[in-house]
Amino acid sequence: MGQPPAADSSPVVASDLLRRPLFYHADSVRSGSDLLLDMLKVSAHLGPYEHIINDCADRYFFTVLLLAAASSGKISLLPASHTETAIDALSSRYRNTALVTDNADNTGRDTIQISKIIATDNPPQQSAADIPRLADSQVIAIAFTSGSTGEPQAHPRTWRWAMQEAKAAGSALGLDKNRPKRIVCTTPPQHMYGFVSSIFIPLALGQASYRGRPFFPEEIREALSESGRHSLLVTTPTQIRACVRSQAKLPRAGLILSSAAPLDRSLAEQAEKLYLTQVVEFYGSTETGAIALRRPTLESAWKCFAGIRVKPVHGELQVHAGYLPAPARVHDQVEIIDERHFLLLGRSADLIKIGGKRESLARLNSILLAMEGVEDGAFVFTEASGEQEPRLAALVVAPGLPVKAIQSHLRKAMDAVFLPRPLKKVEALPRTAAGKLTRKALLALLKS
Amino acid sequence: MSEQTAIEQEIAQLIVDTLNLEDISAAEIAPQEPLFGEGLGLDSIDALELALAISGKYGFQLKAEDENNKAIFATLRSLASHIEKNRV
Repeated sequence: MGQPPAADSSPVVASDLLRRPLFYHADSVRSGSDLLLDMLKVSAHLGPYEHIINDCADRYFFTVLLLAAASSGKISLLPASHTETAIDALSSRYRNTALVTDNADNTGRDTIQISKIIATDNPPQQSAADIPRLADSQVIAIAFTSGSTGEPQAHPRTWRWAMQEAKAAGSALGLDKNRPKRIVCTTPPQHMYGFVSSIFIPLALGQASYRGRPFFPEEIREALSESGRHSLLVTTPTQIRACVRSQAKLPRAGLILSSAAPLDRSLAEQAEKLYLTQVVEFYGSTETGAIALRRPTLESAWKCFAGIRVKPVHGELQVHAGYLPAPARVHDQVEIIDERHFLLLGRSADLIKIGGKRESLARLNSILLAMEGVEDGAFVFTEASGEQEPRLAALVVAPGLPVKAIQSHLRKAMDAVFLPRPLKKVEALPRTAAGKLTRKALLALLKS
Repeated sequence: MSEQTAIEQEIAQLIVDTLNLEDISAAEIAPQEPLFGEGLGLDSIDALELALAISGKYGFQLKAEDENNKAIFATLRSLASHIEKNRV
């Protein structure tokens, strides 16, 4: 070996994980050293590109590619969905991109099939002493959320941030390197919640992650049965609700973790009763990563992970953590109890979240109002309640337009989760004398 | 445009009722048009809702069998044929 490694860097795969299973499905496992070898095979194909669009649905392929790109000094772009629109938007916004995918149907220019490379390339000559290292400050990936202006906002993640956040989050869940657990995650790895819990908790704390993405209750049941007792189910209120409503018989999990949207207490209670396990919840945002945990059946206050401090700024939350490049703000109304505990009072009225995706009502309204023939109109958010998923509805004044034409205009301009259910045509909106609309009045008109 | 078969009519009605599609009638769902994205504009939350309604009505648990539920949920026709094969 030449020079000793710099202190502000760490190996892509920690040497004590080389023999550990980090990813699994059905009857096969992939260890840290499998990951390392496959990563080197894939690196050899990324040469000419600067940005790698990581479209892999399989968590093992996703991680192989992420580390291959990072160790060749390239940035991974994480599309918000697998749709052509989301991917095209990234390749036109960033220079010199390659799309790397595990979906055999994707065959375009600059498209690389990762499973083919892994299956057919010869393993490179590599000794454990040569594990590539990544600098703490290196930006390894960029995630995207919809911005209020229309252009998705880019959220860069450094290597240190991803690893440190995962350590803090995993420790808060009671995970530790000496007692590895199996993790089944229903969120895509391209979403920051899935990224931390199903990719980086394994890398930082030696846990094993289920490669697939179970979606329907029956698939969650199968994945948990393959995973054995005490595994961790990482999921969202939407999926918990679907399991509880269908009375799905899930094998007993060690813990159920929920995030991406608020979990209401009664749903958490039903899930704890039905599945005989604890349900805990992460609080976080793409800007800050996951920062705090609570068990909704027992407590309403959030407790920050180790190393995280919060401060109030104009009633909103400011987050301090060693791995954040700067203190970050979350646009939620909060009450700070002390620098490690807070209560959530509500979201800023304009920002809504559906299916883990965030959007601004003002922006949706402007899309609606931009349509020729629409005289007035407003979206209204109907919150989750018991069995009901949160959804948007819209009230529109457009005497000459059929509802279908309005729907198809909206469909082209926004993600399907934000399409109004229902879209109702009305004669006028209940505006106040000052021209304002209240949510209450909109909801009343919607019901009438 | 092909006509809906009996089972397709039944499932089209189930889709409209389950998903609150007040602006569209069951008969308007073309059997071979995409249900998601550009077609009817359904999304993943709808897929979960439909799975629940289908298991309630036809007595079997839906699985995607591929990553994006593409094959089964592609169209009314593909969904109907999957249900016919699996109903109990």
